[in-house]
Amino acid sequence: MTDTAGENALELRGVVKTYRGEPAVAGIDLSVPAGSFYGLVGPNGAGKTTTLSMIAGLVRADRGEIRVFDVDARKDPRAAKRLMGVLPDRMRTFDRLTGKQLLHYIGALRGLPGANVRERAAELAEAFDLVSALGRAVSDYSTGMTKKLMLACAMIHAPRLLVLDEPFESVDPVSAQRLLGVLRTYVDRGGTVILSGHSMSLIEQMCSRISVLVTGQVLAEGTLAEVRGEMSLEQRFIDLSGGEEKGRLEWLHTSSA
Amino acid sequence: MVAHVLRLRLAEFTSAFRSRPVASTLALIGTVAATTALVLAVLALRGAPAESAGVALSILGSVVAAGFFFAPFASTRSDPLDPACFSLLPVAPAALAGTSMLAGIASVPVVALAAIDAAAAVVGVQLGTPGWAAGLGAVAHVIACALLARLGFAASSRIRAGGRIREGATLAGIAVIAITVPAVVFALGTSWREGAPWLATWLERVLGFTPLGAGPAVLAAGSAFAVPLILAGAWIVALFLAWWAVCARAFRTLPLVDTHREAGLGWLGILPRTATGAIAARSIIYWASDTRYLSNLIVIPVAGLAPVLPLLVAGVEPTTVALLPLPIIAAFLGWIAHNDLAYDSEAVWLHLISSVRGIADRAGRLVPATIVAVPLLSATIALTASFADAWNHLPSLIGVALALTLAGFGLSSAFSVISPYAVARPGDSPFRQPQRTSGRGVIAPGLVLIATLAIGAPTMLAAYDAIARGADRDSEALLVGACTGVGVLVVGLALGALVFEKRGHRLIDIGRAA
Repeated sequence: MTDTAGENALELRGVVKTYRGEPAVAGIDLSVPAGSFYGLVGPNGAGKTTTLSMIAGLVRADRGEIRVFDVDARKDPRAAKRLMGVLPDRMRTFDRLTGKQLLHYIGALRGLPGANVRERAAELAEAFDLVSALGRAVSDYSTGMTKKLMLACAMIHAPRLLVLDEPFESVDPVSAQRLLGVLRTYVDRGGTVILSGHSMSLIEQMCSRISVLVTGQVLAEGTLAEVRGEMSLEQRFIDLSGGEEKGRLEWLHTSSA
Repeated sequence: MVAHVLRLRLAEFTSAFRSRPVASTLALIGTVAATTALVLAVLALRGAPAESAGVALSILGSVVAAGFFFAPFASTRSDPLDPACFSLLPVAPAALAGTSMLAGIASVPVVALAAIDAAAAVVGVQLGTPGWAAGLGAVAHVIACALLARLGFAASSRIRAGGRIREGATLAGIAVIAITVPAVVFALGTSWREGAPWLATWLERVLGFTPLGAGPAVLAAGSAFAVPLILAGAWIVALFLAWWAVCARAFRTLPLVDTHREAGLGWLGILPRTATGAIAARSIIYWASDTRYLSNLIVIPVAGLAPVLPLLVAGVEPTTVALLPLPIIAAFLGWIAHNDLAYDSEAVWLHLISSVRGIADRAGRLVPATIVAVPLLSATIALTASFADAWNHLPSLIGVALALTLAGFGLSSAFSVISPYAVARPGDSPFRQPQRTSGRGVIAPGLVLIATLAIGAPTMLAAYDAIARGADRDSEALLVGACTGVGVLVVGLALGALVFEKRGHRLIDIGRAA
């Protein structure tokens, strides 16, 4: 996949999404170069999930253009979806299936031949340390295990772009490191990852580029160094999000007398 | 080689007695007793009228042959004569095919069958078939059964490979219910005094042309044995060639699987590994384990039988009342899938992000409903025919069932994507419905049911005319029923698929809104 250098894995131009008159995403532009590890950060309700859902094709944008490896995702969603692996946050899965069944299920949905699915399912289970849990129903999995399994499912068709919404939310540090290791190998071999998250330390640790999203708008975009400047990423982030609010709730302190 | 393999079979047989003497002896005694009883039962046919005896021979022989083919589907035993085991030895596929066929004959079930077939040949001679022809017919049946068992083992290898016996047994059970319930109802409900009923004679003729009934047909043919004998011989050749092809393939390809990787897939391993097959398999798993689906299923027969008692009490003619449950059950069967998307709407995103074709989603989800519908409708049709004394109007009954169920499937397929409504969440009681903010939850199900009945109306009218008024409209009812049913099904699937692809992203919100 070395020929993708210089190409954009993902490009958003003027993408807008409004929910009942209220803009969730108010015209954002993003360029994710192929082979990058891209972080989307922002406070709760900034529109990260909406943005990622529009990229994944789960939510339809009101306006704007989304291109995945130069495929227009709004005109030809099937071709775009073939290039992407998606891990949404807080969505149920078919959790009556066992882990193994789910991997094979997704493989079949993606149209992979049976022999391919068998081989990849076994290797992914190994990579994510899920082998011993494959025979159990997914509803019995812990949150961390479910995330690992869902990421394995998202990768089974060898996508070129991974779209991950809060992949480390409520995942214990050990599982997080395991996830991170697999993702890093994926990027080292030419894959592209775009993810959202709250944990600044994790984002700082792995992302090559980030973009700060606040109330549906991109406030800063660039490499890690460009965005944080002199400050730590956390400070910069709080700064961009409107800072700490002072002067309110003062009555709370008076009641203790 | 033949002698060697046969010696091995014999050694296998005797070793069972050495390792588990008591159990094996009891099994052998049981088999001998059962065989003796069956031989006596067959010989008793000598006292029956010639026509009935012939029909009984043909149909029973066919059922036995089908049993030999399907038994491996529900058995945990690995194939003792698996051609793949021989693939490393220097033997030709043709030689292996012949050897394993003969070795297959040298097994307890086939030897028992030979005894029963000998008795059948005696009955055949009494029916007027020459002794030599009857003998050949019996031999043809025994060989056909042995070959069918070999082919059954080959056909069921996918089921046995991953230890998917439960699923295999379910499929076999559905087939058995779909066939035996109508057969038993028919046999018990019809009078055999004036010779075999027309339907049985018709069935005998049809089965005689298949590999299942070709051998018994020779026995039952009497003096007109020439054509059935040639047919039986041709089927033996065809079955042997098929078995030869299986052997040759086993020599060319690697053994099917790595059992470990196949294990634990359940229905996903049995159905084809396409998007449609996978969605069908997953739906079956869900239907079988989720009380929300099960409660829907239980309601169907109850709804069908509900009006029967009040009408009987009110003094309506029993033969008329007997006609009612079939359309109700058929319509509800078609209706059952009208909100299938809502039950797992929170996981539908997996279908959306993997760009599944709408038709794969729609068709796959209808598979479990179809699996339930086949035995249920088959039994209901037979019971209706029996209670309403309408065996002569079977085409009408089948037409009504096809029209209502298939039209219902088509409408459900479209409506479950066009107008899904929230249902009890996974794990909740199926009878605790969520509060709804719009009227969708009332309108869609009612609309589907009414539309189903409206589409089935022409068929039902024709069928009623034929059954109650004796009009000659049976084939019309069957034709109209099949055409409207299939037509609405195709249109519904296409429409549902289109909407799924165009507006699939809206489906995700149903679960959340609840």
